[in-house]
Amino acid sequence: MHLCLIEDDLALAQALSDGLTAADYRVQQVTRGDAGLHMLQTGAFDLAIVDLGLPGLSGMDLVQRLRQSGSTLPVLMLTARDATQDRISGLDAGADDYLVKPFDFNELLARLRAIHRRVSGTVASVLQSGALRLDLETRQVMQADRKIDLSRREFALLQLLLENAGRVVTRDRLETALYGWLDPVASNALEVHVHHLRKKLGAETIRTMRGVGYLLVNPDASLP
Amino acid sequence: MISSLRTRLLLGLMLALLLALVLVFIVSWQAAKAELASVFDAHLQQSAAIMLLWSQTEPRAGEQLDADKFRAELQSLLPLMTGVYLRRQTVATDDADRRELAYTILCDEPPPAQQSDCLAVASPNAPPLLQTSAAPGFAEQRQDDAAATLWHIYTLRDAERGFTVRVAERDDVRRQLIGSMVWRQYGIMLSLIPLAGLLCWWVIGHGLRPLRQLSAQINARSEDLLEPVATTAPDEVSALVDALNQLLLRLAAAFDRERRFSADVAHELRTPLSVIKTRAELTAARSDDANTASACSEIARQCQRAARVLDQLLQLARIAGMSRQHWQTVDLAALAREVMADLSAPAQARGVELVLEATAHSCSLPGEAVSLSILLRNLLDNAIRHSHHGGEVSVDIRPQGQRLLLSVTDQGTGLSPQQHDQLQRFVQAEESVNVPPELRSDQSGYGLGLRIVQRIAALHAAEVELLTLGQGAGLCVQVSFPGHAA
Repeated sequence: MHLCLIEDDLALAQALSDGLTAADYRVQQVTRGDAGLHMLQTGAFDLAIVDLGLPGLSGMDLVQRLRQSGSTLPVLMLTARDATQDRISGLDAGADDYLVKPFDFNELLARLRAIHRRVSGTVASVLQSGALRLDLETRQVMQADRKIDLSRREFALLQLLLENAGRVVTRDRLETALYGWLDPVASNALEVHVHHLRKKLGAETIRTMRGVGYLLVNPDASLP
Repeated sequence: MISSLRTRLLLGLMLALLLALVLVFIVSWQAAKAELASVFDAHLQQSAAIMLLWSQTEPRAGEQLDADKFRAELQSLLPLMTGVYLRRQTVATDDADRRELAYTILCDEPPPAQQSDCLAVASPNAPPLLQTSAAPGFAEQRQDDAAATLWHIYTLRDAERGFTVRVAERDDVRRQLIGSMVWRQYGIMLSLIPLAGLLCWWVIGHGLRPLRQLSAQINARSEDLLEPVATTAPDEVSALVDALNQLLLRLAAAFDRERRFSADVAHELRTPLSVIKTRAELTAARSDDANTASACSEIARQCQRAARVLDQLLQLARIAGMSRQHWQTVDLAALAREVMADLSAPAQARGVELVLEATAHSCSLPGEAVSLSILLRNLLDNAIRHSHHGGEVSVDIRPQGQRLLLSVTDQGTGLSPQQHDQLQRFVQAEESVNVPPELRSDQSGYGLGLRIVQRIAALHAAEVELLTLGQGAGLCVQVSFPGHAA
């Protein structure tokens, strides 16, 4: 797998490069943001790791321009900042995931696998986690080889969970995605949809975090 | 030194007023004395003239001079001569004899040819010196006896009929009269001084009002608000306000530099920590030697710990820059859900279940969202790290009367009563109290996290309370926020 590592700190770049090479990635190192963007737009890469603070062009601007040019390349952003605002704007700019320094190297590998699978390198409109595939264009959901019929709201719910596979999605986000801001939501409406989804996908697929939200169990995330 | 500006001004003003009064008194005392002396002299002169005129009419034509009748009539003239002033004054001695004018009528020796019936007369209080003749006009003379009384004398002479009229007044009586007259005027003035003092007190108080308003305005600020003071103060006070504002601006800039510096340091340290951690992890994974592997894993763990401290430093720096200006209505339950979703991975890694219990409504409060999420993160982080595998950390948010109660409960080891007391003192105390050493260690690691919780709670005027659920049965941290937004 061909990976582009855009990181201005040479020591970190070298350490990551060593580890990634050992994990069977072919790694191309770039230290400047502008050079990195050029490299991503011209080369054939499967994945990119981009540092937030880069000389030449910031990681945020880099990803934004990359997305503007139509690329769907999976991008993992590294940040030395942890302010919630920074993370969110990183994701808004078009990064697929982010990691805060210092991170677990195994966590980095797991995230790389996850975002690669999710975008799957083939069609951008397909979300995938483990055996579960959701096609945004045909609105088809497949579990292994089995086709699953979902209602409109169940589909939206699964889409949001798949986009955040392995991460807890809060009730507030799910309810907003399902009902919008205006409609008053019956207090157990969300539970009902999750209950239906579980019946169709298997009870272990979706885990409850009581009072907080739900997460789609990510088979890629190898938890220590 | 008198500390009250008002008292100082009042004392100064009253002192100046008294000094001015004394000066006025001295000057006008001299003027009044001269003025009154001339009035008394005129009166003396007038009295002599009356006596002379009266003496000239006696005896009437064709009558024989009756000495007894003459004396009696002359004596009855006395009150008239003593005059309005003298009769009205109450001289201290109240001795009518001393108070009244003394007079003598002296006959020429020998009498002129055409006039023979001159009767020499002397008032009962007439001093011996009045018995001797003198040149007409004013004179001051001292009686050379033991009392050495000074007399003001006026002498008139009728050369044609051959007699002299002398009228005299005691100097001490005259002084007493002048004194009492002047004092009567000043008595009124002096009695007005307390009234003037009261007026001054009020005027000063009124004049100092802008200062009081300014200090109230400054007092009403929260400690972290370094915005310039806006005021429409008088010129003298606005100079002070300007100086204060300059200081505030410099302070704010210094604080800002400090904050940015610690934030920069924290950011800068993250990258080298990442390098160390990644290298250690890779070495641990590749090494065949068990000792090397465990040492490298330990290095990686310590990197994580250092990163946590950095996080907390960043958080402290961020809180320090917060003020109530950016407050909004925050849904604490929604905020808790976000933080808990964020922390679900480390919780899962430790085998800890996170649970939120919140009433559907009334979980909002006025506050600052970022700092409140930091508070939640620290409480949850502590709870997760002190939980056993398979334990549960529950967050409970509910209104309680006028307050909003947030509690984070773990099922960990909890605290010994001693530790509990120390930690409770720590969270309730002011900034100066240090973290108890045994709670600062790696094992408990409450220190910085609780410091942050305490600061954010203080920013929201909330109270932090620790409830130990018995030794080994976990800890509950309660944060009670005042006033929730319905």
